[in-house]
Amino acid sequence: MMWTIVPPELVWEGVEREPKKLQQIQWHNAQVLIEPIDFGRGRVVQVLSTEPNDFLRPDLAPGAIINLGS
Amino acid sequence: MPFEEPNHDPQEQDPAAQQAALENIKELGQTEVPGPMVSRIHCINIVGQVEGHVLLPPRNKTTKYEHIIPQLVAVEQNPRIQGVLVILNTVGGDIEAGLAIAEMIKGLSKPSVSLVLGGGHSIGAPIAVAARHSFIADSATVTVHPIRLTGLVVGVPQTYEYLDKMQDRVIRFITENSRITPERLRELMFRTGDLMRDIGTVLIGKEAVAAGLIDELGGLHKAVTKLEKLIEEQKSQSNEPLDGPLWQAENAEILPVKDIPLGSPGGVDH
Repeated sequence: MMWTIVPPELVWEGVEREPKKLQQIQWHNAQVLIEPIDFGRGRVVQVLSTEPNDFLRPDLAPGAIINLGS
Repeated sequence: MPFEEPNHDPQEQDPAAQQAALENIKELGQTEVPGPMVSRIHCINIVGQVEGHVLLPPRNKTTKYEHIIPQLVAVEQNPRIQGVLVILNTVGGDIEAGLAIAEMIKGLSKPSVSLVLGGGHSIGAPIAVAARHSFIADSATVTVHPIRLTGLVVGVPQTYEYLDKMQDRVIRFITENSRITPERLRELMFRTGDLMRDIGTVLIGKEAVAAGLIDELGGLHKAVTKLEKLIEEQKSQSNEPLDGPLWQAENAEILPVKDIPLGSPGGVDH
């Protein structure tokens, strides 16, 4: 049940479309949400951390590429 | 942590480092990044829609409660974290997820301060007031309006009585954790003339403070200073270290264990 100022038709717009596949990973002591690009690589979408210093890390900058093998 | 491009040979270290520095400037507007340090204040952002039981379509920017709740548990448990700053810029969202987050913030034994930037609308309001002290930026707004059935109803159809009950839950939470009275909050929620096609009130910065919803007008500096002060106060008040195992309610009377009458309110009854 929602309580929001956004009209319902906007909130539910595109509800039948397949959502973007995102993956949550642990990357050097931080939880990160990545968008897989190809095998073993992903683009940082969101940093799921409460540590403010994690947001200053260049390897976790929005759009940074994470190479899971490294 | 230095950014390292994998698979380049050592001679290319320098150009790679330069590239990384260039990218830092482009992405972050800075060239140096502080080394590994741990902040004693941690920060929780509530942005976009508060997402609860239903995954919202990808066009929505959402904050998921399954992310926030474990973070709050970590804040409570990690001895190095001494306080939490909750930053809100939300348009509202799922009521139960919002109330869950609000209750989690309220239940922290460590000091919490909230800061409303941009907007803390609808279910953002209980989250904002859940912190021990709440701030709102001068330009930020809080919109309060009635809860109603929206387009997609999940599960059984709700009745008007059910909507009323949900509204009461929210009103009770907000009024218990701020200075606003239930009557005044209801009046603001059902006021006409403020919103074009709707009833409700938009409270801008100091109006939210005047209404008693938010504690104080202020920005980041004020919020962090207040949080530091609350941390120091809590440290000086208790002999237990802040990261101690005992959680103690504010103003709770401390009795030696043998003096607690069995079966009395507050006693553990299994």
